[in-house]
Amino acid sequence: MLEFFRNLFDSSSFMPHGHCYLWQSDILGLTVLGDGLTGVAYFTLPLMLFYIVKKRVDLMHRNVFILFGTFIMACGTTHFIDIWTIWQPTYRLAGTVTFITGIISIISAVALYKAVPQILTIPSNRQLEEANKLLLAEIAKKENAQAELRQVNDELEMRVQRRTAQLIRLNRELEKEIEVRKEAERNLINKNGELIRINGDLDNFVYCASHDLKTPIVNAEGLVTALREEVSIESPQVNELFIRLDGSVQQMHRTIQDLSDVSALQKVSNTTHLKSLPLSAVLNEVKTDLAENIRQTKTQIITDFRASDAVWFTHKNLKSVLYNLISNAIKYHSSERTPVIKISTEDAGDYILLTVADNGIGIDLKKHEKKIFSLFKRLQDNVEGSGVGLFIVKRIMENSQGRVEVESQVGKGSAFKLYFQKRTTPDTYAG
Amino acid sequence: MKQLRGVLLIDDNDTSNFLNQRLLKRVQLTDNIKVLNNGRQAFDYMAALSQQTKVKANQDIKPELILLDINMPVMDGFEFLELYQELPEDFRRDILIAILSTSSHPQDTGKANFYNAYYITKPLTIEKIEMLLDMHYATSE
Repeated sequence: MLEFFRNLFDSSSFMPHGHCYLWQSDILGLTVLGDGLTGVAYFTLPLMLFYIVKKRVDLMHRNVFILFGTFIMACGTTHFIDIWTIWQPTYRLAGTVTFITGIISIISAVALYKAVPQILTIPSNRQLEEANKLLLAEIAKKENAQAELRQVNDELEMRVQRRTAQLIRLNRELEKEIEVRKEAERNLINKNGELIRINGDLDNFVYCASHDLKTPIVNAEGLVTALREEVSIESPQVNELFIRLDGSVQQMHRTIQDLSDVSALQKVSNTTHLKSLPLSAVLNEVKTDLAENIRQTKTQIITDFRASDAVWFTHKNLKSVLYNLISNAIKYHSSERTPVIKISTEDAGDYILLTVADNGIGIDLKKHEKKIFSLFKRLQDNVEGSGVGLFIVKRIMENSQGRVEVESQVGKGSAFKLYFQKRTTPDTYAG
Repeated sequence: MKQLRGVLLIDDNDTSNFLNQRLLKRVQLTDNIKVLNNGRQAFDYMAALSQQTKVKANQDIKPELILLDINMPVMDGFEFLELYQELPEDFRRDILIAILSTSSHPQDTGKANFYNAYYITKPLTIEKIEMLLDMHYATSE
C-alpha cells in the first residue's frame, strides 16, 4: 500500500495512453478537445452551483448542492487526468482520482436519495403561482373585510363618542342637581337645627314662665284665704266676691299646673327608662287617685287583659295616660245611664292595643276630630276641664313611638285606642 | 300640735314669708320664727350658730325646722344645702330641713332626696306641716 502511494507519480513502467490511439493526430485531437471541453464545463458548473449556494441563503439542501459541485469538479478532474495520461502514463494517480470521484459520486447519490422525498414536496413555480394567486385573492378579500370592519369600527367609535358626550352632559346635569339637593339638604338641616333650638327655647320658656308664675298665684291663693279669715263681715255680696276671687285664682293655678305638666312632659321624655309594667297594678293606682270621682258617679270599670297584661313603657307615663283617659271618661259621662268604662288589650302586630271605651256623651268627630288632641281645646263647655289631658296622652304616645286613635258616636260613647310599641330589641333600651 | 324650739324660713318672696309666718303663728308651732331672704344669709346665720358653745341670753335660738325655697337670688336652696353639709354633724343632728317649692320637677325632688331633705310643694298648709312632723318623728324615734 505504501509502495502504491510512493509510486503514485511514477510513469516509468507504463506506456502513455496515446499509444492506444497509435498517436493518430485526429483521434488525439478529438479526445483531448472533448476531454478539455468537458473538464472546463465540469469546473465551471460547480462554481455556479457554489455561487448559488452562497447567494441564496434560504436554499434548502445546501449540502446536496455542495456535494454535487464537488462531484462534478471531481469528474472534471478525471477528464483533465485523461488528457494528461495520453502523454504521461501515471495510471496510479488516474485510478486514485477516479476512485475518489467514485466515492464522492456515491456520497452524492446517497445524499440525493435521502433528499428526494423532501425535494418532491417542494412546490413547483406554477404551483406557487397558483397558490400565490389564491393567496392574493384571499388577501384582497381580507382587506375588503378589514375595510368594512374599519368602517363599522369608525361608526362604533363615533357612536361611543356621541354617547360619551351625552353621558358627560347628563353627568354634569346630575352633578348640578346633586349640588342643588345638597344645598337644599343643608338648608333643611339648618332649619331643623333652628326649629329644635326654638322648640327648646319655647319649652324652656313655658317651663320657666309656669314656674315663676306659680309663686305669685300660690301666694294670691293664700292671701285670699287669709283675707277671708281676717274679714268678719257677713255680707252676701262680699261672700260672692270671695267665691269669684277664689274661682279665678283656682283657674289660674290649674292652667299654670297644666302648662308645667306639659313642659315637664317634654323635658322628661328622653331621660326616662322603659320597663314592662303590669296594667292592672297601674290601673289600681289610678283608681285610687280617682276613687272619689268613681264613687260619686258610681262608675263601673271592667277590665279584660287576657291578650296582654303588661306594656313596655314608663310608669309615670302609663299612669298619666290612664289617668287622663279614665278621668275624661268619668268627666264626660252621660247623665242618662250608669257610667261604664271598659278597658281591654289586644295583640296588634308590632303593637299592644289598649282600648279605653266609655258609654258617655261621645264626641262629634266630624266636627272636632282635628281639635280633639290639641292643647287647651275643650269641646264641652259645661264640664270642668282645661284641655290638656288628651294633648298629654297624644304627646306621651308619640314620644314613645306609639299612637292614639279615637272612635266615637254622639250619645253612645267614645273609645280611645292606645298603640304601645312592643319591646323590639332588648339592647335598644338597655341602660 | 307639737311645739318646736324654733323655725327658720328661707325665701326671697316677702308674701310667701308673710303667709307662712302667719300660718305657723296660727297653729302655734313655735314662738321663735326667723326669716332670711337667701341661701347666703341663711348659711352665714347657721354657721355662726354652730360656733356658739352655749346659748346665751338675747341670742338667736337654734331652729328645729328649716323651710327652704329653691329659687333665690345670691345663693339658691341647693347651694345652701351643699354648704350646710359641711357644718358639724352634731350641730345638724336635731335640725329638720324641708324644701318648700312650687316645683314638682323630678330633678328637684331627686336632688332634695340626695341631701336628705324633705320636700313640700307650695302652698304650705297645716296638713302638710302635720304630715311632715309625723313622718319625721315617727322615723327618728
